[in-house]
Amino acid sequence: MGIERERGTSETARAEEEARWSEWMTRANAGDTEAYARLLEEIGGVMEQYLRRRFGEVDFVEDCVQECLLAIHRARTTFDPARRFRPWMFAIVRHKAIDMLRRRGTRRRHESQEADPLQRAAQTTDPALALQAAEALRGLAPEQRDALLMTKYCGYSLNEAARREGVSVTAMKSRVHRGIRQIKRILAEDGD
Amino acid sequence: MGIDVRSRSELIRKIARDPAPDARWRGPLQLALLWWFGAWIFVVAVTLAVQPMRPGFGAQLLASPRFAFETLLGVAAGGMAIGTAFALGIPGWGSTRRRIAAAMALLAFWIGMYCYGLANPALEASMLGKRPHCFVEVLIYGVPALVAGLLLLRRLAPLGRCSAGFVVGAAAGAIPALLMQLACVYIPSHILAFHIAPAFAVALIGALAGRLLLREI
Repeated sequence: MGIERERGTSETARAEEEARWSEWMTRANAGDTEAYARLLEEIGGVMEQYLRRRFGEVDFVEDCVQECLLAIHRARTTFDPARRFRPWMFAIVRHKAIDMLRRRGTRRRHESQEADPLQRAAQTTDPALALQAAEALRGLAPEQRDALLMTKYCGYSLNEAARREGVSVTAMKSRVHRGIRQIKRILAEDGD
Repeated sequence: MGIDVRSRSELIRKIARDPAPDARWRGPLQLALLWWFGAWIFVVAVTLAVQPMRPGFGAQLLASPRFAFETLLGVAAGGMAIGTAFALGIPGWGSTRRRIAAAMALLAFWIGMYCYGLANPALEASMLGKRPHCFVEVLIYGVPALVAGLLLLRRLAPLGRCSAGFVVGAAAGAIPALLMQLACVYIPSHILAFHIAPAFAVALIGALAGRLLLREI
């Protein structure tokens, strides 16, 4: 009974949140800057929680939240008040999250070509901790998970990661690509 | 948008101050219909300007139910493709994969009718109405329709720019390809090689052009 009451309360809270966000976005599209700022603050927090649960306590979550807020801003004219806000928002969040994960390895490689990979790894989040927190990573096959942790979380280049694992660069590239595709599928199953 | 911010709060403050967008002509159905009518008017006009339609095509439509069905199927497939493309412009509006799969399935069914027609054509093969440059015509009528479609789709927010561009391209190529069914010779092997193939090329061009012309969200 207690669990049912809790579920009922949480559903009511979600429905109220949905109505509030929908109203604020409608007012924002009509020119209400205050409503827009309040909406962005609130959904920014929700996005951060969602991304930390899926990807763990990693440094790129804040960048991802800001990219998602910008994407919401660019796409705001497509919000239809007759439809629910959450599916619209989370479709954008999932898209940007996958996009950032894909681009992440390349940018880090260009930023720190000279640094020793072990030194770079020590400066980033402990992959073991990241793994504990990251629901999305837990759904992957071990070789795909290791490939993503090394290239996207610890900043190893494909060459470095391939050498560590004793596989070819092509094989490592394929593991990263399949890992990202699998994460995309896992996030899509999330719904809203 | 060139934003140089250090914190989330600063970002929110900056973007909240942006002026409210122009809300006119943002509905996906509105845009799809606008494109559909405009593209058909354009393709019919230029096709007729180059050479008249095949003599007797109207009587053929009435006399052969399968030929009429092929034609209607082509119209439906193109219409579904452009409807899908503009629906993709609304994030979270149903499953993207399912929408694209349904549109591609209908297009494949239409093309499949011509494959079946290789062994069993809907009409007796004839060189009546031959257009010497039908391959090029499909390409050069399809590309402006594609560009117009992408420029309209920019008003929305398709998340997958390549896939949205491909679907717009398929719709844009389907219109001249279908019109050639009535304007050029009716021989299924000719239709597949000289009308459908360039339409597919327009779809591929759409996938590349989508990456360039559609906004990154």
